[in-house]
Amino acid sequence: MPIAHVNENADARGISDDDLALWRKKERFFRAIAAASSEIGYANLAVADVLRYAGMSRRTFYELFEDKEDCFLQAYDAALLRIRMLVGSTYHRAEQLPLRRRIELCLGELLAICAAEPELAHLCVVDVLAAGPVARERRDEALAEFAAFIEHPRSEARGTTAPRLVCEAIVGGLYAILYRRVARGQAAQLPSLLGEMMDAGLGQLVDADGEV
Amino acid sequence: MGGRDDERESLLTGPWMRPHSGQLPAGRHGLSRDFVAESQRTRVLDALVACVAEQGYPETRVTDLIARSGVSRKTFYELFADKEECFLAAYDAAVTLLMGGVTTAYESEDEWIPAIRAALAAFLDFLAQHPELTRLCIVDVHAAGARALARRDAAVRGFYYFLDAGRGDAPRALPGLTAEAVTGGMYEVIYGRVLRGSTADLPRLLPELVYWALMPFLGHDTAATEMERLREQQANGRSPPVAAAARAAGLQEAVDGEQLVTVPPRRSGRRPKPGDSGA
Repeated sequence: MPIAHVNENADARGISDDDLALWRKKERFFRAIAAASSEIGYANLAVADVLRYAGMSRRTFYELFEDKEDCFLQAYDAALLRIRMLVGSTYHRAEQLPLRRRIELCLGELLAICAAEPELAHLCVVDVLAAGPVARERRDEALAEFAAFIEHPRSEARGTTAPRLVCEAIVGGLYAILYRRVARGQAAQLPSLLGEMMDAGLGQLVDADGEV
Repeated sequence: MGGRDDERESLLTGPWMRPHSGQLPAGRHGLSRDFVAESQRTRVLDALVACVAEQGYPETRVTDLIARSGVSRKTFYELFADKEECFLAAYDAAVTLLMGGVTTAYESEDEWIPAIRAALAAFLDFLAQHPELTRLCIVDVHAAGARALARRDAAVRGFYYFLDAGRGDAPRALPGLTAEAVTGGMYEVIYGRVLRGSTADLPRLLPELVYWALMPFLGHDTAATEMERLREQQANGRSPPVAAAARAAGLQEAVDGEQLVTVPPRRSGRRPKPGDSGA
């Protein structure tokens, strides 16, 4: 990546025009690889397909990425970064709400992203399992991160009476539910499952007062 | 993995199902065709399990399976259309064996909580005692194509039955996807341990996994009580469903005097509730 030179048009956020242009190009490739791999599957995907979906040149592709896997991994990381920020900010914004409601808003946010961007969801949830060992590791790390995210409300609601392992299990369960729907092209239905997903363990865990 | 081919038991048939051991003598031996084919099939499946454990599925070639099992190429292709068919057969055999042990353990108890506890204990013990099969079923299955994945999904759904029986004991109506969430969570926890090579430690997770299986159905308090009880037992060096776990693992001798247990057919309906409410 070229070192951004200082110029007078530098964006107020500190991003130079060059970097912004670079990022826009990458973004276009990310959308293309998500669309292409949810259409034809990651394994069957050639760089030529990504170029076709992006409407960009091979030269540009190889200026930005080493190969198909590199493009996929960067797309995955970018998507996860966005999800992490959106879900995290939801959690912090809702600080004054009861714990269960806060968690519900976060899960709702995640499901809304999947529904609004089904191809990206397909990339993050389904294709990531087929994109080689490195992608798999990233997925495992992401799940561990979500488990750590639930760890705070878990300990707040249950202290030592609920095992930490349950966070890992809850995230795995939600992942399985997402996977099945997204793989079948039913990402749009996910927001309607919010209540059910909350009642399948996560809600009971974080709602210490709600128990019958 | 210490054991070598010539001394270890067949992974897929186990000592109690296997009609004989080792490679049959070449030439005319007066054994029936089916008997020979079955023996060859078992050897090829065992070879597949061993090869996949060592090299992973993508790197395993039919040539490796032939070399390892000692059958001819012609025989291999009489038994299996290709490597994938062979993998699927091994996967199916492993799942049948596993589900047999789990079902037996589950059926050995009348009430849902002990039944789930016994089933989970049998499940974890089976995995711990068959690390190569476990890796094949939990990790390698993801690298073996779409048909293998479909088998995996079906196998996972097989566990819904045990869990959904808990609906009768639940204090309130539960969402339809509860069993899906619980099995998905179990899978992820186990997958992580298998990937890190700590398959042998899985039985130690019994108290926490029992908590996870019970909590969505019966609530935190009941699940936590059961977990604490199991932790205490574990600390005292006792694991409660010894008989069921041993049966599942094929260790008949551990079950004194008990007859060989065949796997009962799965009941299709909901498990009858013991009393009105167990919770």
